[in-house]
Amino acid sequence: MDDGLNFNLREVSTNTPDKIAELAVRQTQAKDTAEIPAENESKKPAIIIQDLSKVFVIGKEKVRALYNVNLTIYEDEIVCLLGTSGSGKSTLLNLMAGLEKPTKGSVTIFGERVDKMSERKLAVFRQKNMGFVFQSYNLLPTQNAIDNVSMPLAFAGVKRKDRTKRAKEMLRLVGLGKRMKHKPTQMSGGQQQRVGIARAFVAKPKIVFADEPTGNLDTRTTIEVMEMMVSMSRENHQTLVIVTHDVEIAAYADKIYHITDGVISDVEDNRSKQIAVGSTEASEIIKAAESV
Amino acid sequence: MRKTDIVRFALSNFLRRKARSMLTVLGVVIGTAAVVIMLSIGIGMNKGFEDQISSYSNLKQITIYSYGGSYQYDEDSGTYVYTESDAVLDNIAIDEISEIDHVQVVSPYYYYWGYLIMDNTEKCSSMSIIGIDAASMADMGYEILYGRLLDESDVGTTNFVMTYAMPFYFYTMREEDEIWWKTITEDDELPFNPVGSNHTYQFTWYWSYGESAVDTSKPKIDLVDGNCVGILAYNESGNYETYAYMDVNGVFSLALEFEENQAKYYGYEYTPTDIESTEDNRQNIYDQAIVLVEDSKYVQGVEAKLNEMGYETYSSMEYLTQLQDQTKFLRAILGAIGVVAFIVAAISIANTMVMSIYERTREIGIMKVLGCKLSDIRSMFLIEAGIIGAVGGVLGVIFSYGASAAVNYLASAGGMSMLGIDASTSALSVIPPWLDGVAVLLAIAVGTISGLYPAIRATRLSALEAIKNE
Repeated sequence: MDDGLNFNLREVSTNTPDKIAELAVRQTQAKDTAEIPAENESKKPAIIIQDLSKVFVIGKEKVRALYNVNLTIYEDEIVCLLGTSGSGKSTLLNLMAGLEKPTKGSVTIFGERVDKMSERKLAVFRQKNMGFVFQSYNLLPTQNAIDNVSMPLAFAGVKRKDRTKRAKEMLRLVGLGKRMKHKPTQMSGGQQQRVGIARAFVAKPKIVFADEPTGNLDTRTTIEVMEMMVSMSRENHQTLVIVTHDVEIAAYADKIYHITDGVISDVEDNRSKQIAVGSTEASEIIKAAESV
Repeated sequence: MRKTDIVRFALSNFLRRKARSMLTVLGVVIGTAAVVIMLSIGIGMNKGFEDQISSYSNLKQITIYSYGGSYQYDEDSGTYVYTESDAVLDNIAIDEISEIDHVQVVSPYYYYWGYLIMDNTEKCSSMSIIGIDAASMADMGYEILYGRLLDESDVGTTNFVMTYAMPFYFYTMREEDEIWWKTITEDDELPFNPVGSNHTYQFTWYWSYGESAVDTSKPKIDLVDGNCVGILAYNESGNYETYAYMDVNGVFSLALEFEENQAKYYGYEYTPTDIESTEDNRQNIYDQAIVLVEDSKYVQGVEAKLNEMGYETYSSMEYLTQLQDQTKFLRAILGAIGVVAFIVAAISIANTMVMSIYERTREIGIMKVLGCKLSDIRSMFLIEAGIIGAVGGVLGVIFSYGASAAVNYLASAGGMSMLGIDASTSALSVIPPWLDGVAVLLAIAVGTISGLYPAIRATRLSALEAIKNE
């Protein structure tokens, strides 16, 4: 996972007040451009971020990871936070998920202030509303696929019988029908990530956060995993927030937020150029990658 | 999260690292066993005292003295002050005492003296005649060897029951020397069976009757017939006791006759002592009274009441309590050793759980991110620690039984004795059933308490840091 740390150390040395001012201007412009396609009348906002800043204190140095970020993510939207390593995109995701507290600003999800929630409340809130897909899968190594997938249901208090049934359904859906009893160590990276996806979607959360979900996967598996997540979230009308540095992945999103040096440098409405699930474009990408 | 799921998670974590779990459990096993064994030795010690004392006396018995007063320690002057007491032992007192709660039987106790002639030739000089209530002899816990104990039919008669030692003290008049002292053990066979119609018995008061020529110029010395109805079983403390137990009224009539005869023999005026006691004129008639209480646990209460009434009392129970009080310190040390072992076990549990948190940091982080409640995470760790305690506690108790048996076997085989308790007759280590339950509960409690800090720590882990932890 990328936490913006390396970058920020660099940033400390490069960011002059002028540069910060310049970035801020860029962000304001980006915000304006973002407002234009936000014409979507009928859609309700899922995540509203206002003036969000995050400063890390490392030793005596203050390191700015995010600066005055404003954005709104709507229900059923597939959003990509695109940026290079250390751009602050992961920090943004962590703030949205309530894994970190912002230095300034607010994160509102379905009308509730995530940044103001206690750990206790957050646990319940995540249980009800959020699913996570991680770059390093983060499966429990001692549990088999079924138990890993059914874990969010266990936390929600679903009976063992019921949750096993739902976990099996999910595993079949991600094509692991024959590997349900396997432990993570007995599976390939792609298979593990599919278990991760099954786990993220099993409780039917309204929002799924995916942090570099394909970072450790080859191109073919990347496409598979992406198509799986996109089709699942479309089917269940879920909001999907993907953090990546990979432009090809971003191509699956409805909207792409380019993040540079802790600010949103550009917002792209991608609906016109979007790759459809199962399209020829995807197979071309695979072909191109594999011919290298 | 469902409770069953929390337990399932805790259990699977416990079973996951078998070697480490087992080592931690072993710590608890040793701790529990140490506590149980140390306590069992303390309990065995108390039980040993009890066995020892009850082997020669009755723990349910209280002896009342009629000194007419008693010496009491006065804290102000720092000396013992004699306090006159008008509490007398007479029939009225016996009735009053029998009214006290939990008193089963009260028997008067009256010492008299005399000599016993058997078959006109054999004599037992060193003996006492003890007057008791014949009707309650069976209730007083006397054990008969041959014949029978005194009962209602013996009231007012000179029928008697002799102690086991008595037959050993008979000697042939004019031919043998008087026997003063003899040690008798359980293995010594009775020289003869004194019970039955083969022998005739007569009591007399004259000390040299049969040994020297009786002055024929003086009045005749009385010989009062007696009938031996039984002999008591061997009693460790009674191997010197040459007593004839007789109904107290029988003793009084015997005494009256002897004293009249003595007065006549020596030629002095004799007025019989008044042995009647009335409400207006109370007087001491009996030397002692023996009170038998329903259960030894009531002894102290009854004794306190008797003291309140002005009587001086003694009970083996009081002695036992004193003895047990004296070893309290020793038992406390034994207990402390056990507690130290338990503390070590508790630290070991805490250590294991903390290690386990380090190991599972990532796992805990994932759980938190996936929406596991903090209270559920805490419960998981507490239950896991509790499981370690429970398993260790149960195994520890089982182990203690083995260890206790081994201690008892070795102690008795080695002929060990501790504080006067003989290991071959009473167990050195005794584990009462309540100790099992207490030990297991204690182990669970210690386990859970040891898990408290690690559990709270687990909930405080930052989810983000935890999932970053590769």
